[in-house]
Amino acid sequence: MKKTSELPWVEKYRPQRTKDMKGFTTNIKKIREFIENFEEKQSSGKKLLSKEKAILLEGPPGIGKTTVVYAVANDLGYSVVEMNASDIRTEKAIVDTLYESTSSTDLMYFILPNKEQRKKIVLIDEVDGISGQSDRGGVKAIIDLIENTKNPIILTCNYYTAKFRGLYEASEKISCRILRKPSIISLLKEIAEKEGLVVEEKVFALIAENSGGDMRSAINDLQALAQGLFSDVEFLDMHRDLEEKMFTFLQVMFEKKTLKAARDILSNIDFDYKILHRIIHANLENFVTNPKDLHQILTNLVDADNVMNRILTLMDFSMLPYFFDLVSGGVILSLEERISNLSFKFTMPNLWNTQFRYANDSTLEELQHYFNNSKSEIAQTILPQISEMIQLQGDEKQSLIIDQLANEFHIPSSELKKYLK
Amino acid sequence: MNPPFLWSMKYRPTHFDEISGRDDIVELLKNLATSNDIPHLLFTGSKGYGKMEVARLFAQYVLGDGFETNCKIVYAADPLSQIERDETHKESYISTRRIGSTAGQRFTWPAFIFSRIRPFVEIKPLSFHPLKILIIEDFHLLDNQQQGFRRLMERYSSYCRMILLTHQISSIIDPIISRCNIVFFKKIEFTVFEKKILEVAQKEHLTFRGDIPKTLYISTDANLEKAISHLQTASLIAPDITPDTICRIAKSDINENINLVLQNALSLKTNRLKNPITLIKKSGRSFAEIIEIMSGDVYNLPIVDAIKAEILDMLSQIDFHAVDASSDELLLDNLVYNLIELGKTIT
Repeated sequence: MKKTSELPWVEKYRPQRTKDMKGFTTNIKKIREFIENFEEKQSSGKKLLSKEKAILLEGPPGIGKTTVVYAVANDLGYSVVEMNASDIRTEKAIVDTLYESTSSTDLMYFILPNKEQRKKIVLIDEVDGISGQSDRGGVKAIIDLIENTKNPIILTCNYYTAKFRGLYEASEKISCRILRKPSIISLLKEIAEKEGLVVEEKVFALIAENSGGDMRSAINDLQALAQGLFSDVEFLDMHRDLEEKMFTFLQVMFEKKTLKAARDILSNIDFDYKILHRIIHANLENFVTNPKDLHQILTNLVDADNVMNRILTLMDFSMLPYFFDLVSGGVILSLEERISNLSFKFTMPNLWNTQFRYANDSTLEELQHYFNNSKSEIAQTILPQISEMIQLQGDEKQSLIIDQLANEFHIPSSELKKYLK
Repeated sequence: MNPPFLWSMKYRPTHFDEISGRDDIVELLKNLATSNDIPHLLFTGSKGYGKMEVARLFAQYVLGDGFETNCKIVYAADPLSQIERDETHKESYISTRRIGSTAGQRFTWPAFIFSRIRPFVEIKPLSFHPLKILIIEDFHLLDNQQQGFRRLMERYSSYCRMILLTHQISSIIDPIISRCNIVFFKKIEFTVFEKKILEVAQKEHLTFRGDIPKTLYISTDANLEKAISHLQTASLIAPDITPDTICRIAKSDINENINLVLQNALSLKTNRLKNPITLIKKSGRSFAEIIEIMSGDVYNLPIVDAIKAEILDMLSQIDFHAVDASSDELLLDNLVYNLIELGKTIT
């Protein structure tokens, strides 16, 4: 299935109208309403709130945030002034490029005064690109821009970061979710049909799976495949469902009865063997119920854990055979009572422990500057203690104290209230 | 400006000389600072003994005005955020569209070092100060990334000093230990602890009934910051502070759940184990803490002394395993089934 093409398919098949887009139905409506509202108030001379002047599209890369803006602009007859924030990083650059188009009228207006002037949308792409200490002015410039604009502004970004709080407050946020697999598959099929490719059903599913919701990378992969850049579809199959592999491994291993047979499977696995004992532990209760067997298996797994930890800290892999013996024979031979269990719900071991849920918490990050403690310590020990103290006070005094504390911590008191239950 | 609402913050030392109960360490570090040849430092000692406080104030003492810009505190216990992981991920994958044998392969960088430590140590100190200081808390949690860290210690040692804090020195690899000066933190002495507590009590006009400093010393394991915040909570409950109030504040639900696990496992009520175990796992307490609370409970069980000794022996063995373990959950499950086996011998 070889075929060449001049344009990258991502550009070639970029939807021009909103009706061609996959997903996004509610968001398209919101964007359209925003622009219409802006236009109406602007022409009638009403004052606009800052949230009515700018919206922020938030969502992972490659799902079509930029495309949706262009499509809506085409529908409504606007032209788009685009600026990629990652290219231009200083305050001056932002002002130079954007101020012209936001505050002045169109050049074409002087040349062709009779033709109706096309209205403009300002699109600032990938706000995340403005980062670091030196670019603080950049965020401020964008906020100023929103204040003084005469055209609707649309910003896009990938993740919420505390750095851009000012920006979030000045604009209306719309979150875009990742695309579901069926919609990616249907789009890929359309493209393949137009290009006259013959592609197996399995391949579409594989590409969609591999993309993780990123439409752009899915289209790129399809193109690469069609142009023969991949010799083989299997090449794409690098991270096929890891869980599935672990699931089959467990099923096979608990069927074996001898040490050698169990050891032999371990030589064929192709996922991270360092967490083998954790995988077995997380799913153990599906295979073993007898307390005595469980006791023996757990003792062996603890030993395996110790061995693996030594191996990793000392980087001494000569001890690896002991580890393999413990996780294979150590488990299989401890079984006196066997239950055959072919259908069970696979649980992934909890590799990052409980602290993991604080990973993306930006409020705790700010509290860290005050308390000089790790996030989990703050969330689990310090904040509960404070809330206990506050509950001992009278009702009217409580809110006063929360305000004072929030002031000390440099966070809004509404944020603090969420943490003090 | 008002004083902070939290007493633990209000009475926190703000200068290197104000640290209480660490005279020997403060003097040692001051000598190092004046000799103009600060080595890498490794602080070791139990949780809550004030390692971070000493490290932070020492950095402030050495760097002076440059503290804000030239010092960074990194918490190894904080997992990487989505953005940091994505950045490392991006760097680790070599595109399939490139030519060469590595195309399409994935390399694992030591993510933590890559995203948190390297950006800081790679840049030379700002302002006119010759040094930068990097403080890493819970250094033992870096596990196998310690090997990668070793190289950073050498390469940037001309201008960057590292202060590593840990409460588990056995999990730190020898090459790192040999590159650091080790500072041991002991429990602060009771006389110093008592002095500080009485000072707070005097300033806040508290009245004590009974030996409050002693109670606090035991219940918080000589952790001054915790003790002061317990004192504040107690003062809100009643103007007169009694040992009973302090004990009530110090005790939490986790103790109850651990006790429940111990009793139910020994009496073979296996169906009543699941709930308290999940609660303990959710609480995020370290395994060492669980063992400590449980071994305290063993003495109060209504069983013969010989079996108590056996349980304590088993606990100490598991505690020994915990030194070299990566998964607390696995250890906890093992502990429970060990208890069940012991329970069978009783009945």
